Amino acid sequence: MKNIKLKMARVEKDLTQEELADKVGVTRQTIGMIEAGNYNPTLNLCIAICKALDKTLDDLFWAEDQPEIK
Amino acid sequence: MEYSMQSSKVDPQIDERIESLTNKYASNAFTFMCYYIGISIVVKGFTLDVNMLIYWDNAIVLALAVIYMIYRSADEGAHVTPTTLNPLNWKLIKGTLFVGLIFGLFVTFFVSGMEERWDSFFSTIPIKIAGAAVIGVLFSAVFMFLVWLFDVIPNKRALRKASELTGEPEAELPDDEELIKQSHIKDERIESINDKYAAHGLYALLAYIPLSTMAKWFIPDVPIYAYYDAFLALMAACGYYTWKVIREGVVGDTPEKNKSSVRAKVSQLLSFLAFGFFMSFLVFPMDEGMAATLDSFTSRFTLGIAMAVLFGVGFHLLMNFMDRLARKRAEKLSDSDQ
Repeated sequence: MKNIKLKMARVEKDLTQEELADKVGVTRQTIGMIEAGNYNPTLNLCIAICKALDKTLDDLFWAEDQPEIK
Repeated sequence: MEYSMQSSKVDPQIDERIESLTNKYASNAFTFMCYYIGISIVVKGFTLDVNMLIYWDNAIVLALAVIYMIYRSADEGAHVTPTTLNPLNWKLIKGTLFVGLIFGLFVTFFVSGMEERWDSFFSTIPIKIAGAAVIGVLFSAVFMFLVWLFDVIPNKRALRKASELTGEPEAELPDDEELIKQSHIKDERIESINDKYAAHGLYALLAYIPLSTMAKWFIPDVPIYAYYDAFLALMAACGYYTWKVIREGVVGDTPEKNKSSVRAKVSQLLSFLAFGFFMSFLVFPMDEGMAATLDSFTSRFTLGIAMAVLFGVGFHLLMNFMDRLARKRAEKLSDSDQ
């Protein structure tokens, strides 16, 4: 599931994927894969991204239709 | 991965996605090596007429790597699919005695007939049955020792460590019957810790098996087929690992324009060149067949330079090719704005 909220928050801050990746210390592709929904980041990385974008975890990573983990 | 509340940065040297994926596939490759070496030791023991010591070293290194993986995981409070926490699990003892007895009967009635001295030893039916019983007891004892070493101690240690790390009282695992039915752990914390140390196990094999294969190559009168298979299996495991990490867009996924990435490429090229030169200048002349043609310093030096260029540049180009493939794959998987 694509993370549109993250992409919008990044664009609002006028940051490229590479700039955000530099800020949080990962590769550009990792940010791209989080936005594409192909990678689930750890809580540490989620918090680092939220801090870099001045957002909360709820703002960027809470999904109402998240499938239940079994 | 270190995370500081003062800074929004995580450790810039480690990308958690790359780390977790490489660990996961290295762990799969390590599991394959465990099965392969375990089965091949048994098969060779029954089929090859060679000294077992020639290839047991791989199994010993592998067992040490498995022990390292299990105990390091336990130190971080992660258990590895436990079978039992009871060293005197009577149900397990009865089961292993039964399997051991069947195995013993197979050995004394069928396998011993293949070798003359064993055939003459197990000459009568009562001796065959008594031998099978002894083999059954030994089998059960060895199995229970392995359960104690790989299950009971590390899992109790994992429970104790987890309790220390959380400050909570020790958690209770399900009872033995439920544990035996349980086949796979689905806890992401435990999986990631296990993968990390299994990856270390694979790296240990990567360091050991090529060296031991090379060393055995120069031992006279040792048949190459008896030990070369472990090296080939390792190469197959590495092939799987490489293919999977390229598919996941991991190889060469370091930040572009990064100085350390350029340094890494230069040191990679230099190490390939040095390895090519070392092999052809120093190691090949030790082989009897090649020593005849490499009798002078000039011929050895020329071959050394030629191999260094061929091997060094060839591998460097191959690595760059894989790097490009992985980058393409990463772009495909990501919602890229580049």
